[in-house]
Amino acid sequence: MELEKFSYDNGIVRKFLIATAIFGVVGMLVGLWAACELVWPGLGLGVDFLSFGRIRPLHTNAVIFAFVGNGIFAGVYYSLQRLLKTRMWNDTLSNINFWGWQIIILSAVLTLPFGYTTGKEYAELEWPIDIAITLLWVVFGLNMIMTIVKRRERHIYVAIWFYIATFVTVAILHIFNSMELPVSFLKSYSVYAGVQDALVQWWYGHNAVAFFLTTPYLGLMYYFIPKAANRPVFSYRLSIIHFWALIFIYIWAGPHHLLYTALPDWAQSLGVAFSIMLIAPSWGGMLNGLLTLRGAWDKVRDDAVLKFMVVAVTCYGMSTFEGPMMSLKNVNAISHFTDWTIAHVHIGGLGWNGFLTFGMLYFIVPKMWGTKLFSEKLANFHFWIGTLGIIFYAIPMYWAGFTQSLMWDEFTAEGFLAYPNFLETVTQLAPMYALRAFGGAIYIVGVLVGCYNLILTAKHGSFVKNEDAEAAALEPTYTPHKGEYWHRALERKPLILMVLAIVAVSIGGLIEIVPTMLVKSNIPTISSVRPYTPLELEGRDLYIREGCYNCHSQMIRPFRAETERYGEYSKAGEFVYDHPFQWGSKRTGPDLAREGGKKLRKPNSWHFNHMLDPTTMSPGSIMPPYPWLIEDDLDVSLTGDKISAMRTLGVPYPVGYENQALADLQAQAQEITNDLAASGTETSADKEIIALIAYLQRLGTDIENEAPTK
Amino acid sequence: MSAFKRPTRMVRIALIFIAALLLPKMNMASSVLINSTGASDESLFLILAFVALFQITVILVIAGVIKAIASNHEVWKMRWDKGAAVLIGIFLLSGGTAMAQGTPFNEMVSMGDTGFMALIFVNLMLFVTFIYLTSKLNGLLKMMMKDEEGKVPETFLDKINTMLTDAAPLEDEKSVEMDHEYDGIRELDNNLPPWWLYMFYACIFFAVVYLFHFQVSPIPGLSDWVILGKVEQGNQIDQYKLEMKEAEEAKAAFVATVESVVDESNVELLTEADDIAAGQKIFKLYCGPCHGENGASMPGGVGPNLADDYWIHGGSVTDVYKTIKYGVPSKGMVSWEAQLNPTKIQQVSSFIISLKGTNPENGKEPQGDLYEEVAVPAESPAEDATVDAESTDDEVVEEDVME
Repeated sequence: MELEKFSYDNGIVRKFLIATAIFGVVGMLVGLWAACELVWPGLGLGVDFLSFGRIRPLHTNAVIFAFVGNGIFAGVYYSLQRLLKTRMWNDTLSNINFWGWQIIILSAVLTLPFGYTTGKEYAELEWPIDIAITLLWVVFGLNMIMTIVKRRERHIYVAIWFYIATFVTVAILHIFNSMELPVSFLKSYSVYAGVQDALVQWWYGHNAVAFFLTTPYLGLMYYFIPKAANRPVFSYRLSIIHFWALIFIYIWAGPHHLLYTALPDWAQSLGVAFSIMLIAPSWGGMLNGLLTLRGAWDKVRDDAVLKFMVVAVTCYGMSTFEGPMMSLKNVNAISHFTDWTIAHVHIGGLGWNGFLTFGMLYFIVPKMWGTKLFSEKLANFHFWIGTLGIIFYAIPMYWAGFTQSLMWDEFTAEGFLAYPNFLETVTQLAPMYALRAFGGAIYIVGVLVGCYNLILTAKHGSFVKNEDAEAAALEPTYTPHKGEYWHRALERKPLILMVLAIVAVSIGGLIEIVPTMLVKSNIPTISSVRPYTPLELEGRDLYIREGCYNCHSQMIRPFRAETERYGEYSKAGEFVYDHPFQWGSKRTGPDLAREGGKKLRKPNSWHFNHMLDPTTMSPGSIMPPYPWLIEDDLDVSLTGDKISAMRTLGVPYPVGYENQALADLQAQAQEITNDLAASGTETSADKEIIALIAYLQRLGTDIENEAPTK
Repeated sequence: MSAFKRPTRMVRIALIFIAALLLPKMNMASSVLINSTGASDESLFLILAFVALFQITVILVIAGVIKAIASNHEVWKMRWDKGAAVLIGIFLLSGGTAMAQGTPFNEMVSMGDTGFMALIFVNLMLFVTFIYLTSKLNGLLKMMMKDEEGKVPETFLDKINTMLTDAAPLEDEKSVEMDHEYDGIRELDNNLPPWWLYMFYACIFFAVVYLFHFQVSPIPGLSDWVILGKVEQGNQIDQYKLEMKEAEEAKAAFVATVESVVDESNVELLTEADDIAAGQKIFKLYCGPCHGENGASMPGGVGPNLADDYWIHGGSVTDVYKTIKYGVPSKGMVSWEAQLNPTKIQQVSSFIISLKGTNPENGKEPQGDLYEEVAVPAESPAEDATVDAESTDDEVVEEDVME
């Protein structure tokens, strides 16, 4: 058999590597900034684009899509060529993939801090960027599939199964969750409302973790651990079983983000059941990684690459056990809305994604630059300080989570909340927040040292842009071995494997989402729930723009501790006009679902003063001030269009109401302004703050007008 | 074995220093947590203390063994166990600081929670040390045996590992190696680790039980099982109703033990300095933001001036009590019924009335009507009768509870 000569495209890998490192540093620094804002609220500097609600989405998007995203591309482009013994199919597509992705990241940096957001967690980017992501993802997928098609290796390796599953599932998730109706160039409304929107969003959110942060990284693990340790993969059989089980089961687990909410019970229970079943498939990956190191543990002691990977895989194992535990309804009752969740995701983020990325970088860079790592010592320093960073990050957050949850739920013997003032449960956490920022900071120190080490490594070597390789072409016909494992056939037919993967990941989503969309009884209507007034709608858009959902939930769970504190628990029917839903996932501040209701209602002037400087109304509050809401005029140029868009989505505004909306808006604004004036606060009716107050005062009031028939 | 690469000494010392500084802080944080919640339990405390002592003993024994082996052995020069010594040092130090917060011992038990949390923390630290030392000892033993026999023998831990994973032994690996490789990556075809497989089955079983329990019918006997959570009734709303019912009963039972409960029908003005001071404290915390710390609000302030003679919702103690308790939602006054207990509302009402006429400077302009004190009418016999009747009822309830 004649050997064909070809070359691997290292140039594209280098580009992605550099982007990974840069966005790693940037994304984490933004995170550190956000963490510090919770310790020193003044750090927002009173500037809108630095406020926590806008910075936090930037952090999450940066570390997930810029840091890990580029890391995925770097690892895939490096390993795919070598595993298939071929160059990437099309260099132009590779470069479009690279530059396109960086432009998308740049557009995120230019939109999120400036308030252009869809208000759906981890999917905040507005519709034009969503479309660009879709196209880009297709470019990546096409390039990958065509590379697979023209491979020189008969069978595709387990890493590539994971890449394929990643490609198809992320595409499905992104497209369905990003269904939105544009109102203008950078404003759109989710086509789903309330409960449905929540379910689709968390089907997406959960599986973004599964198929963006997990499956591609498992693929990378399957390539880099055996390579770095020079050991055979522990069990092929385990690979097969945990791969299919993982992608099939993962997709079902989304509803565990919505336990005790207004989501129908049956969907919640399904989410829990599948979360528990997910433990084994997840651990299958961990085991296959760790057991591959059998007989090579002495290398782990010496080799920084392996050290990073071992901790990464261990963190993966820990968070994939913790996750299902947190999915149990009774545990979730404690953990949800608290910093426990934050600790959990950072074990995964800093440990699994972060450390695997660095392990990979420490492996690839010396290889591609044809040299040795500049300093093993510095790499070890990075490893140790990074590990310490994770510990210092996670432990205080666990502590904060338990503390806050216990304080929320405690009652005195007389039947009163022990800490009726939500603020008491926040100020208690100040030292934990400070420690967390410290943990994050030393982790970043490690990252910086790592970057320095890698740069010097590159400087000492010489980069080979096109690495020569040779391999035999595939023979046109292939006779399978006798008695080969059935799965081998699939590995020869990657397109069939892809179709089966699509089937596997579709089932769970379909079974959970379709009935929630179609079966009326899942969302009992409440006749007194009315669409928002134009002013309230504008106020709601401000609420979304400022990212209030990052710290405030709008979902009162049916627990005594919550109904005592916030009022009646939230009902599915209350959210039917909420495009998008704003239930939130974290309570750094109190729930706002009934902020305007009898129990919590405050005067307009309270809200005015509170937004100007929260500490005047809530001494010790860590909420940032929002002076710009008070200074800036409300943009009403789109009000009519927004009403029309909402009607298109099924909100029952009368036909033609868009022409009257502005007049109604001004009348309501004047009313609020007059009320403020009566209590001595002078402002004018065209300011943003008026709309926000209108929205906040509306929250939770509909249900109080319900005829008491029950 | 070459000692694995470590950060330089300066860095190490710096890290240890930082860790030693911060660990006690964590303990303090924990004590804050626990003081604010949970209750202490002496027996648990003693068990924990015993476990800690036990762990210390075991650690000392292992350390002793290591030292004994190492002292007549080359490896001592490799300083690897100095790291362990330093680790133990830190843990004991931090544990010690934690303990010191709760000493002396008696006080610690009575203080309960601080020491309790500290002990859990110390135990965790000790456990980590224990694991670390055990692995070191294991490595050391391996190395010694290698010296004698020329190859690394299987240790006890290795054997357990093999048993759990059902993997082909390392030296026999070829028997399960597959006939392909990808970019130099070979694959073995080891059996699925049995414990993993059974865990998978168990999880699937659990999932089925879980779905049945929550969606079909609660399984008797499983309702109190901690992993499932207390489920007497399937859906979360029924569950909530049950929780509220139980809370009401507990509340009623508690109220029955209290002699009298203040409410708007019987609230009286308090004049004792202690009560006024308590009222002032509550006022500052909850009312101050809107009404000003001195009660006079300010021009443009959120709430009305409470330190003048004018009242929007009436200025008698009963009026003020009611305004605080139920709030005036239409005007933005929040209801405090769920946040302050009746006595506290009474105290803060009395404090507010004590402000009457203090008229601090720069207060908000008066709103509402001038309120003039009316002679408090003597309590009517009818009211007394009601109160009596109520207390009788209370006694009945109390008896019920006793039974």
